[in-house]
Amino acid sequence: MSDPTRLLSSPESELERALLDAGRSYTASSSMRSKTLLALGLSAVATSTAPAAVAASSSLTKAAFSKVAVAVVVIGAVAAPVWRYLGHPASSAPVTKAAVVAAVPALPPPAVVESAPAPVAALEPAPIAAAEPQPSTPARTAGSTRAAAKPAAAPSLSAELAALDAARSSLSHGDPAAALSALDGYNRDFPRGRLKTEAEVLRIGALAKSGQGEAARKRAEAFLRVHPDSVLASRVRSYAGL
Amino acid sequence: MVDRYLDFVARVLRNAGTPEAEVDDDVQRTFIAVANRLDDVRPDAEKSFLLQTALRMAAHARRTLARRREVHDSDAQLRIQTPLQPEQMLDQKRARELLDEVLEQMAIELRTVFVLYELEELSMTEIAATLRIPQGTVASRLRRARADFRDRVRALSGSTHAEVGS
Repeated sequence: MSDPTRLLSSPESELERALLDAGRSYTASSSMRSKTLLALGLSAVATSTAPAAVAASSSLTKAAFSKVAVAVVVIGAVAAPVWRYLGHPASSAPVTKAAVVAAVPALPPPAVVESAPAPVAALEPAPIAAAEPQPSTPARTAGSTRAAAKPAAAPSLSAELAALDAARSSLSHGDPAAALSALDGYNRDFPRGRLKTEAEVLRIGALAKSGQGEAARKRAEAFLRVHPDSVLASRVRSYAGL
Repeated sequence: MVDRYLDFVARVLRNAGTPEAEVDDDVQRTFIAVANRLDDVRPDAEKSFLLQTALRMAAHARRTLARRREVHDSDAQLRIQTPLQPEQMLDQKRARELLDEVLEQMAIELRTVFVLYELEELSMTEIAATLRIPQGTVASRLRRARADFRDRVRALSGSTHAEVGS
């Protein structure tokens, strides 16, 4: 069964072409990448499980080693960019698959995922991967062309992320006072920052870890009133013990 | 993986019905869900896993939106009658709005196949595997989806010309 020619190859009107183009040319917003990486990274702040995860993985039995090896390959795709983006040199990234999985334990899978049948069964035998020629996949061509043409994130966004990473790093190293100081600096430097939501989550975590539980709880409640459906909501609850 | 598939995930979510304002959050949810399930993902099946997760996210977003509209909104049919000026034809934002309106009116099973084939350029084999339906069903849905899409675009174009010309 051969696939028919795509409509965009021979649109019957300019309007049809414009609509199809609009659908194909949608791209992630400039802040979406940072927020996604930060959402994954933020989770690591609360658990600080990377060292534990490394230790845990090293105690795995020899029989499990092959699975770990596969896991490391997989995790490289996710963890390395996150790790590097958060300011760690690529060569020293002590990240394992377990670390990234552990990095988001308190974030429950979305309801839609929980209620739906696990996609794994479909994926395991799925011929889609085999039928997906890597460089020439049309979908990837469409996306990668735009990705290549897309300018890098604005400097201010990188600066914002660096500022938050300083706070995140302090927090994960058990220095919530320094994290709060870094977050104060963030608020001063970026009064209309695009990552203010993420900064607020870090602040709630820093307050909780510095013994200011009541302040953390109040801010958490305020956060949840404004962002009840945020992907960070469960993290905020976890920080504040709600 | 985030770098490689961010646009892909965002595009699938948006075209499959996630409202613009919720794409950011659902992109994050999609990647977090996949990060939580890395044990189950074959290294060469990341894209497929992301796609299936994104489609479920979009389905959830559509249901939420539909419930909201039952209370607050309005008739999509009315919105699609918004006059379209000729100079707006190629305006990307306007085209996006019109595409949303056309896609919203398509039956969901047709919309999904249409988006995956026409916008993501997946093959029918890939779509069948992703949706776990026979290839014949994919072919049938695609045929109906394309006809439906073209009918709606023609109607939109016709009403536009009539309004513009009047």
